[in-house]
Order: sequence, then structure tokens, then C-alpha cells
Amino acid sequence: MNRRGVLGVALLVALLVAPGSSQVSQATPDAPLSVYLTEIVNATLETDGLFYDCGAWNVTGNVTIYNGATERVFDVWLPIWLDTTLTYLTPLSVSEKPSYAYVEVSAPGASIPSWVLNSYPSSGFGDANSMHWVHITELQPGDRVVLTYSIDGASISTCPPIRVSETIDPEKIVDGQTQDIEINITVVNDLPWDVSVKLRKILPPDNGPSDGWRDAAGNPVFTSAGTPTSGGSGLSTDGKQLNWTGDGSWPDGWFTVAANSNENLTGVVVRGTPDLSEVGGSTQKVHMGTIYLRFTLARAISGSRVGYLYAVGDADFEAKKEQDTSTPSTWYETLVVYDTSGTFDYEIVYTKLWATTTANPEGTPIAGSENEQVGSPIAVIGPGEASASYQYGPFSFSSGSVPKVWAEFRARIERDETYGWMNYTNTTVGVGPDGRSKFIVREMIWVVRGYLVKAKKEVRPGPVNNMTCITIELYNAGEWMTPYVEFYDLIPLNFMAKESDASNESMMFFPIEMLAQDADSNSPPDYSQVVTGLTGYQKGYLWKTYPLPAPQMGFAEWFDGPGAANVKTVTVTLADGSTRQWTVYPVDGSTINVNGTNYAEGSTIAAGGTDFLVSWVQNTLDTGAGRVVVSAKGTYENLNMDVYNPVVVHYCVIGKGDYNLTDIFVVGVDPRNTLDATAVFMPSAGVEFGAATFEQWLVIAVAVLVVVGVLLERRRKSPSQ
Amino acid sequence: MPSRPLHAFFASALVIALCLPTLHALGAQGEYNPLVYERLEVTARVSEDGAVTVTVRATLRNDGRVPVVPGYGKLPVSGIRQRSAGGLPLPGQRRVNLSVTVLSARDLTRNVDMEVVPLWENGSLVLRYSLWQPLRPGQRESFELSFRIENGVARGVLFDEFAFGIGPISNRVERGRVVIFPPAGSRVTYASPGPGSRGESVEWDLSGLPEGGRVRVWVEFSPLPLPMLPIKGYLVFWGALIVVMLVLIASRALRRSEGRRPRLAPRARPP
Repeated sequence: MNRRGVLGVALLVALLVAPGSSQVSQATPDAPLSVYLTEIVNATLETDGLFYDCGAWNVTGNVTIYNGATERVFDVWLPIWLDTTLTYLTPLSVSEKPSYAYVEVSAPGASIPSWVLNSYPSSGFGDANSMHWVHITELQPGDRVVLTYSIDGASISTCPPIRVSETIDPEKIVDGQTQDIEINITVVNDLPWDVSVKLRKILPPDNGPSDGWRDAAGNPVFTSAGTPTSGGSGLSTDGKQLNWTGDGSWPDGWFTVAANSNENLTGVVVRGTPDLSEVGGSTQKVHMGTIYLRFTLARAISGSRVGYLYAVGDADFEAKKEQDTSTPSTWYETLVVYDTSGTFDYEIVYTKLWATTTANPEGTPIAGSENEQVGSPIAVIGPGEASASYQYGPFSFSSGSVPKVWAEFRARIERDETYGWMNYTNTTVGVGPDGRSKFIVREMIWVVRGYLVKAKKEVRPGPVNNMTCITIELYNAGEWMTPYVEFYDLIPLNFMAKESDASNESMMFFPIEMLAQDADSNSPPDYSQVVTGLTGYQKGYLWKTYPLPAPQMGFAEWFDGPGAANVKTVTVTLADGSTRQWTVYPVDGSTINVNGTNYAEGSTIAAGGTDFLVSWVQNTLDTGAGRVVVSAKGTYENLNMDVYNPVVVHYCVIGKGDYNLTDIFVVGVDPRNTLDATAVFMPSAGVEFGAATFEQWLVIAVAVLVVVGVLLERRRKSPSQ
Repeated sequence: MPSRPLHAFFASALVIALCLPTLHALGAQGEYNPLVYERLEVTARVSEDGAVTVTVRATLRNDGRVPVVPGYGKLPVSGIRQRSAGGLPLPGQRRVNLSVTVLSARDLTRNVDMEVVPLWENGSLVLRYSLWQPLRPGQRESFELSFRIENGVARGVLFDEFAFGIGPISNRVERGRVVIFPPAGSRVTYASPGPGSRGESVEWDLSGLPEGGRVRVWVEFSPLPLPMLPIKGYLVFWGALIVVMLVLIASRALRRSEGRRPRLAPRARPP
């Protein structure tokens, strides 16, 4: 057996590394040659429960190739597919490499060796010509090369495909009042893969000097951790942190959000007392906590992928030549490749054998001696004994003289988690030096100074066919009396409101003394103005109320029927701002029972120095369901009259078709002091007149000069004395 | 009994806005100020008696995400008058309540009359007009309001001064203009700032005026056949006359003093 150490064009270094030495097992289950592609997302979002601002977000990618084996690898060609339609803040570049290694990054379409391209798998690993190729000359045991890139998230999508949205109720709270705010948190996963998520929400600290919250212990604080649809939720012992993780503790583990779906955490409650004097005193949005989101998924969020790696380790080969014993002109050529690596399996992708008559491998090959094969792979050989070699041939050819046999081959490390290379891809979020995630959602809430007009509109079927009944409740949930409030409702086309009817379905306003302008002296109907000639609507009704007092507030509740079985607990607010819990049920269509005592419609309930008027007990409560309205009383001093909070309008419409619900429009008040209704600033454009002239004085001056001129002329012409 | 199941609806902007969770936020003010003056045209016609007829023609557009009802629009009308004594103007101004007569108010989109109510707010007159038509996002509504004020002009002898301010305008103006017509038989002798166009009337462009913007213009009229001047006409006209008078008087005074020089010799009186 002749052994020829022929190099040819092969880049293999035929060095034997102690073949029998035991291999150190990998510290992790990762492959001996591992490629890690990790993308890290940073984002800052802001929400106020209604609107959502995604701001700028970015993705930083790290590609690490690590040689965890105990032997060197060489001639590494690492393909990385990047989405070139995105905006790269920094392009793919080397950020770390060993000093001995030469690393070069080429853009797609650059020239790379044919043996790498031709052996690239035809499917499953992308198109070799669209890859960024990274060439590393050598990577010794324990060393790594790191490449990085960063992407402007806005070029992927306006908002990160994994994000958190929130709703808060109420969206506006009143300055100086302690209120419970219910929050629902939704984790949105717009990606086609499952994502593992955990998050925590941290409230502003107790004594922040200018955060808009009163400086007091436990302000604000979580009072309920809510109920999640996936994972578990819990609170920290001081109530300042809400955790949504696998089990509700922090950091615990992940919960899963399935592909293209959401998971919700509902019923989280924050209790707080805002203090606008810390931030200037006027109605504005105040920061109500930050969500720190973490997630991980086994993909790159920008779509980046690692292709099929080409790398080589230790191997040896020999080209054998044998002469036929019976026919001396017949020769046999064989190539044997040996896996001398102690760790890696090799995929042989190319072999070639040929013979020449001269000692020049580039000389004219002997006819019939050229044999070559390509495959992806042709064969796989592994370290160790039995499968450690591959034989190509023997092939025969004729030669009159002693030929020189040459061999060439290419082999790459196999893609295998135990005996080769493997890539691992994931996306996660950045973490700051404080240990908090760098994917944050800041939540803001409106804090309102003064009055807060809250409108509620309920629609229910009426007692007869084709009848729909609408009840509008107007509350002042603020701290000061409102100005005159006007609210406006629309009747859809093909519906008619029953303004005045012998039945109970007329348009009625409770308490009637709060209707500041009554277009019709009869009651019902109770409205201030009717608007006709609208496009797309049958009519509009406007109600103008006297100022609603604060902080005292009653209630408007729906009961399923009369009797103690339908009792409800309601909260009322007294004139001093304190609250009471009452147990209430309707007795019949004109009487209610409050805390054990019956009160007739129109009578007064005295509680803690505040009077409450039983404004309305719906007649339907004689035998069925209906509404009860009890309004707290205050005084409007300008007119020396009693005013009430809340007020209610009830009317029914007859018509066919779907009742298209419209919003309640509140007009004429500061729209920031309204809740659950649509209100806008009134368009205003003033004109001013005012000019000045002093022409009269100039005329007088001219006249004086004329007189002076005339006098001078006369004196000039008069005889001298 | 209807077979429809019982349900309760809660109409709120929250429900509508939740359908669009990933849109960018508007500024805090923008949430409540979605209306834009797509077109705002203010025309002032001055009469010979000093009364001014103002016509405001506007198109409001809803640039928000939900339907809104403007409800009320406001047109504050205020005046500043020059101090005077005995019919002569004095330096200084004072606020006055102008005598305003509403001539017409019309919702041009629905082709119906528009309700206008004069109100007093903080001692000033505000014309409050009603726009009850809900505007869907992108929808617009046009209206026209016309009123007359008496004594809107500072009357001189041969020249009348008229200063007209518009604003502050609560909503952004996309396109707009101010046009002022002089009285019949008069022409514009001075206008400040330089008008965008001039002819029988003078015109300024309001396009692009931001929220809170205001514009103040000054126009002078005169029956004299003078061109538009860079300085107020009464200053030029009477000032020139004064200069001429002064020159004449000075020259006369010089001549007179020459005539008083001492005689060379006393003249002998005839016997």
C-alpha cells in the first residue's frame, strides 16, 4: 500500500491528533461545534388604555460559533440568511474573534468556493446564493467567533409582533380621590409560532416627589392580581409588583402564548390616590406603572436563519495503487479517507481519482483513470473504529509505465448534535443593568381636576315588538360641581322616539327638576331641544341639565325583578366624600327597600348628613325587571336650588331593523373632564375690531397753519408803524 | 315578547378605540380636538356709514377616529375703541361692547338654517352657533354665518381706519383667507401686513394657520384717488400739506424780515 501525502487543492491539514485520546464530553447537550443565533428585542411602548404608541424598537442579532470540541476545526464557511429588505442600523460584522483566526464576511452573491456551493443541500436550508457567508480560517478548541447586527424594528413592523396591550377602567380618575382602577392586560402574539412569555408590572414608588401620586404608604398599590388565561399571576408582598409568570412568583418560569393568539390577565386592580399638585395641578396624564415584558421563542424575530455550515476537522487519506498480477498493464487506483478526528462525523461530498505518467498531478491524465463523484453526501464516516474510513474504488486503468495515482476529496463536518455541528436559534429581550427587561410598556392614566362627567347608555328591548328602550345615565364622578351639562343622543333612521305616551315608554327625565331647559312644558316629553334635518339619522335630542353636584353621588341600577331575592349592594358617596354600602331591592313599581326600610318614589333618604332622592322606580318593577335611580342632593347656590347626581333619561323608540348604537355626545364642557362619552373642544374663531386715527389733529394742525399763514400775510402787507 | 335575548350595551369611546389597538397615539390635546378647518373664509365689507358686515364661511372636517358632534361653535366678537373727548381722538383704547346684528346663519351641507345664540361670557359677546350633525371620521360640514356691527371703523376726515383681528382660532386651518372690501366710492390707500392680493378688495391668506393662531390686519380707505401707499394715507396727505404750509410760512416770514431791514437814509419830507 503506497501512501502518498498529496495535498492538491484540499485545505485539509493531514495531521494526526492523538486519535485514541478520550474526548471531553461537552459541558452541555449542545453539539461539539455549535452556532447560536440570538436576537434581542428592545422596545419602549406607551399606552393610556385607549391609544397605543409603539415608538422606536430595535432588534440586535448575535451569531456565535463556538468550538466546544477538543480539536481544531478549519475552513469554516458559515452561511447566514438576513432579510435584506429591512433597515439595518449596523450591518453584519465581526465583534469578537481569536487573534489567530482570519474572519471575513461576504454579502450575498460574492464568490465562495465551488466545493462549498456545489455541496450545499438543495432544500431545507435556503438558497446558498442568497446567504451572507462568513469564512473563518481556524477555530481552536474552546474559542469562538461572534458576529453582530442590529435592525430598526420599524422596518419589520410598526409595533413589535409580540407586545402587551392594556385596558383600564375607568380611563380617568379624579384628583385627590382614592379610586380602584381595573386593568386588563393582554399579551399579543402576531407571530406564526408559540412564544414563552413572562412579565411584571411595577407601580410608581410610594413617596415619589413628582409622579402625580399622593405621597403616602401603599399609594398606589395592587389589590388584586387578577386571573390569567395562561400561567399564573401574583403580587409582591408590598403590593407594588404584579407578576404574570408560570405560577405567579418572580422570576419563576414562562407561560405560553400560542401562535397568532393572545392571552389575557383580567381583573387586576390598582388602588391609588392621585395628587396633581405634584405635577403642576392641571388635568393631565400621569404615569401608572411600567410593564417589563420578557419572552423567548426558538426563532429569530426578524426571520434571520443560519444555513448549512461547511467546516472541516482532522482527517487523513491515502491514494493506493496496485498492479494486476496477471495483466501487468492493468493498474488499480483506490482512495481511502480516514476520519482521524476524535469527535466529528464527516460527510464526504466529493472524491476524485486520477493517474498520470509524470510526477505532476496537473499533467495529462492517463486515459480511463479519471474517476470522480459528487454527493451531498456520498458517505458519512465517523470517529473511532468501524465506520472511520471510506473507500472509493478500486478503479482499473491501463498504463504501460508505472503510473502516479492522485486523489482529491472534500468532506465536511456532519450536522449532528452529538458528532457534528448544530445551530440554535432564539429570540429574547434585552435586560438592563437593573435586571429589568428592556421591553417596556409605560402606562398612563388621565387624572382630572374638578368635575368628571360620566355618561352611560344602555339599550334593552322594549315591552312590545319592534320597540327598543334607551336609558342614559349622567353622573358627576369628580370633586367639584359641573357647569351646565348638555348631552345629545341620536335616533337612527327608520326609528321614532315615543315622546309622550300614555304607557310608561315616554321620554322621561329624572329628576325632572334637573332639566334646565324644557322644550315642552308637558312632562313627558322631557327634552330641551329636538334637532331635525340630520343626514343619516332620524332626529337628535338634546338635554340640558343644571350643574351636577359633587362629590355626593347616588346610583342607577337595573334589577331583575321585585323582592328581596333581587337584592343588590350599591355604593353611594356622601357630601363629605365618604362612601356607604347599601343593600337595595325594589318592593314594587313605586317603592324600594334600602337597608331594611321602604321608601316611596319621590321620597328622601337621609344618610350621614346627605339627602338622597328616590328619583325613579320604574313601573315595570311591579311584576318584572326595571331600573331604580336614587340621586344625591346638593345645592346650586347661584340659583338657590337643589341639584342632583346622577340624572337619568329614559325613552323608547319604535322601528324596524337593527338599532345602530351611537355614542352619547356631551357638548359644551371641557372634553377632558368627560368619561365614556364623546366630547370635543368647541371650534372657536373670534373676531376683533379696533382701529385708531389721529387725522382730526392733523387737519387741525393744517387749519392752524393756514390761519397763521393768513395772519402773517396780513401783517406783512399792513403799513409799518 | 320579543325573542331577542336581553343584552346591555355600553356605548363608549373605549369600545370604539379598542378596535384599533396598534395605532399611534395622538397628543393628549389631539384626542379632543380632531376637527380641522378645511376651509375658512372671512369677508368684511365696510359700508359708508362705518358699519361692517362680516361673513364667515367655514368647512369643518373630522380628522379623528370616532364620529364626533361639534355641538356648539363659538364666534367671540369684541371691539376696541379709541378714547375721545369732544369728538377729538385721544391716545388710549378701551374695550367696548359692539352692537351686533346676526343677518343669517346657514348649515350649507344640510341646507338648513343654523341656530345662533348671542351669549355673554366674561363680559364679552360670543355668537354661539349649533352644529348637531355627527361627523364620521373624514366627514365634513360647511356653514356660513353673517353679522353686522355698527361703528366698526375709526372715522377720520378724508381717511377711515379699519383694524380687523381673527383668532385665536381653536383648530388648525388648512386653507383660508381674509378679504376686506372698502365702502362704495372709496379705495384702499393702505394695508398692513402686505396683502396677498389687491384690487378692489384686499386679501390675506390664512392657509396653514396652526391651532391657536391669530391674524391682525389694518386697512385704510379714502374717497381720494390715491394709490396704495406704504404709510397710512392720512399721515402722507396731511403731513405733506403741513410741510407745504410750513415752507410757505417760513418763506413768507423770511421775506417779511428782509422788508424790515433799516432804511439807508431818512426821506426828506416835502415842504
